[in-house]
Amino acid sequence: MRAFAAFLALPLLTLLPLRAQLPSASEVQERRLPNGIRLLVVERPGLPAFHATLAFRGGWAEEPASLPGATELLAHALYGAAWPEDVGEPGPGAQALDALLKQEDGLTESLRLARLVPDGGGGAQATELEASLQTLQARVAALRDSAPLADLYARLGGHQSASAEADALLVDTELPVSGFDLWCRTETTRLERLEMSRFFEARTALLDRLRTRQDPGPALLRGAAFPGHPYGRNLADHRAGIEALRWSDLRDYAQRACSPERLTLILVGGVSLDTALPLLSKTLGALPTPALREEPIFPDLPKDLGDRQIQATLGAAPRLLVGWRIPPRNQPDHLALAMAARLLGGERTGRLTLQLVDRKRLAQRVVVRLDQPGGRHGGLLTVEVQPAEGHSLPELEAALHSEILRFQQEAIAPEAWQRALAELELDHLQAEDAPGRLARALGLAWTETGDWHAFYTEPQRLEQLTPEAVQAAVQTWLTPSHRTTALIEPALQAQDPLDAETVRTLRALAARRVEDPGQRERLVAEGLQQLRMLPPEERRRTLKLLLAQLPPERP
Amino acid sequence: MRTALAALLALAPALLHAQAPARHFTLPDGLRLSLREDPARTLFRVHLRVALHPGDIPPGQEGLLQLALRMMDRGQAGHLGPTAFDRLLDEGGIQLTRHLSARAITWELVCRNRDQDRALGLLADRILRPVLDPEALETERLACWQAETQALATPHGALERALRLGGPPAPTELGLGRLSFANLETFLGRILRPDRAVLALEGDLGLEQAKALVLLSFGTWTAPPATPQIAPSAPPGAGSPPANRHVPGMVPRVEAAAPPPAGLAPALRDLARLWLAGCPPLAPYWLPPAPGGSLRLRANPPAGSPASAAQTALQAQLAQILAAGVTTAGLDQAKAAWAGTRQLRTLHPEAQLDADIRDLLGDDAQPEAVAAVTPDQLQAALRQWLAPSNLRWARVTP
Repeated sequence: MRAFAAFLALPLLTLLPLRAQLPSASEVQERRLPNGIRLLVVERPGLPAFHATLAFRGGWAEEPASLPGATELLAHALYGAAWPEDVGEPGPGAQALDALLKQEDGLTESLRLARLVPDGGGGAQATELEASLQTLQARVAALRDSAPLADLYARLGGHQSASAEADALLVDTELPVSGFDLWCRTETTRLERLEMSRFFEARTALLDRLRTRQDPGPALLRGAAFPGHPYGRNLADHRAGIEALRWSDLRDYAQRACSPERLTLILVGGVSLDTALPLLSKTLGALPTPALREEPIFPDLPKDLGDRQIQATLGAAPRLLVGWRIPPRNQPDHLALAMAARLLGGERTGRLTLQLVDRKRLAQRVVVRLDQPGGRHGGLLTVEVQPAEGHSLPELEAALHSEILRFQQEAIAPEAWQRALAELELDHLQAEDAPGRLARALGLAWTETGDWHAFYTEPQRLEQLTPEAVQAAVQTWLTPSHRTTALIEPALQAQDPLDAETVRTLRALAARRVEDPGQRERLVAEGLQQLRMLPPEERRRTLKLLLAQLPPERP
Repeated sequence: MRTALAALLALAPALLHAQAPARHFTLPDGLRLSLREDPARTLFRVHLRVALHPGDIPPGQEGLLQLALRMMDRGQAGHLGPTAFDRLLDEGGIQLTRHLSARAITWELVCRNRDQDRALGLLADRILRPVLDPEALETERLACWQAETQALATPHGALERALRLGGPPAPTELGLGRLSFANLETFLGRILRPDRAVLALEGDLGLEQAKALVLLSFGTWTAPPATPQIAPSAPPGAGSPPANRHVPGMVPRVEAAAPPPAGLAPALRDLARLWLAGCPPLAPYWLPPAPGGSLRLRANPPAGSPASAAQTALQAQLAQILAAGVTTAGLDQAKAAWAGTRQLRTLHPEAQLDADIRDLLGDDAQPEAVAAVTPDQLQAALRQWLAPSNLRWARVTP
């Protein structure tokens, strides 16, 4: 009997270390649904819940110029919750809601156009339209229950969230295993109906977020680093376009952006492939595949565009932002640069923190980031530095550049190498360990490199990486020709309200004519300098004239 | 025989992932422990929670907690200076973070399984053997005040301070200015005691191994005689006027926060929150609860109306909701959502460890207790939670 027990225990004992030897791509099971959706399943038997990620390849970098903010709106109007009126089976109630939403779409557009008419022309019409819109919105609201627990997923204790990334639209859902069937049907109906009954609220909320955004610095840096490239687009410059984006436009766009061939579905948790596959084939796998759309063509922006610098007066605290254009994630040098970012960054013992914060006491804080805003087309490696009291931004800039030069030339200390390796390994293990992080990491690996295996092969490649290879990559990529620098000074608003209004107006005017944010900020600075030479009364008159050139802003 | 083997093999992966319940034990010095043994984990996680009591921060010394913790981070941990300590953490791939709430300080540690001894040893150095550096006091005092003013400058920070959303009392310039080095040392000695602490572990280690590991690192932690508690200052709440905050760019609005009433049973607390989330009349005002569990509500005044009108309307709505009472259907809906939420914890190792600590402290709702809640009990809990004396208000103007 004892021998029998030992014999039975043997397979268990042999399995334990195997499971402990993560990471391994073998735990990911890949299948294709009938319509081409790629399915990845990571089984965690025994877990009573699952995490599902829908990763749509594309993201805001692939939005057409005529639909700014479309991905962001899909994240908040199409996804983010499972409202019964959006994801329920079509019926008379759904038809009524659909008709009302069409009316709301038309009225909102008419109101927008009426508001564009100069004073005296469209005022009365706008008031009338506003009243009609309010009545209509009350009727729409009456058809909906907005209590958080009205969300079908929340009723089961679950939740959904979505984020618009530069290279992907990622939708994350967590539910108990018993909700898997509901999830399959709900997500299928969502894509069949594309109802988006909360589109108008989502659009207003997006405009509000853009209006009150606290830190425009990173967007400014990206704009200057990627002129004319989608990675450089700042959504805050396209508020008028977002306001003009219609419900019907977004539905058309959703059909293309959320089509099966762009989707990888990742399941991690207590759902097995055997259970999931038949159900998914009948639901999401049965969604029609639209005719292949033309893939957007990205401008071929040279990475060595030249050393670019901008100065801007924004925010409350001065900051230095430096970004270097780096290769896409699927290029060989990318991994070496990821390692370089770890060596330079690191909150406590990264090279830049040790030198600029601890030793020279020039900075309060240093943050290094990779792949800003995305890794598919080659983003930025950025360094953000907040100066210590009494130190100027140019002083900090010189110190940073000198540190980068030293990093290129001096041998990398073995303990620093070990530290960076350990950090990267821990990151990877943490992503492996939590179902949500693993699903997102696999989704991003697929959208950024075209192959989810990248998530597993990168740690293996890391083992082969040498300090010399990192240094060679740094010498190639972290050079002045790939660099963009943004010097962010404290806002003028705090000092002079007239200056503040002038800056805001000049910036809005420049945004309509000049795409390059660097050039735009120079124009604003020059304009402000010239206007400051005028007597205050004349400045106010000039400001009024400038303001008249701007379209009226909705409250 | 073959069938038995096949069944066992089929079961093996399930056993590897199935969540075994956490085991609890207490060390002789009073340190309570929770262990979640999981052979499938490649990571070792530790949460150390130290309770804060209402009288820990004497009136007029606001900022004592924040400054003392900053000094701890910048000071020595055992024989290790701050740079050496950070270097050891980073070189070992050990992540150590700290979180503050009104009721506790929590240190969270995560590392590879093979580094369990070293990681727990470093955590013990940090907690048991802090040596503050008097020369750093003025720098840290200034940095602490700068961090507070920067937080206040953000819309979120300004509102958080106004509504006191679960965080400890915010530092004040006067309070920080009064603090001496001796104040900080006394304070840390008072709060860093094993009988105030709970340690939750998760990873590939058994009970005996965990006991040995903890004894090795935390075994010398002794509880000094308790010092007399200072009477806490009464928190503003009942009848206190709303805080006014100017936040540029923000739409005018009124926000309210209601912390969970002290002494409310965990089952009632969880169900009350879920019941309110399912209450349609409250939907236009609903905001996700704050990290400390406070309910948050928001109302925008109609164009041309003062903020006080929005506050009055929201108060009237709350009164109506309480008057309408709790139905069995509403309660059942909340119970169903609660059961699902509990299952979702298994997807989040960090949340699971927090739950283990709550469980050990008797602060985690249990299925039997949730099932036994009646509509009348829930109604009484809601009256307590939404009582005007439990609401804090803030008015935001652009």
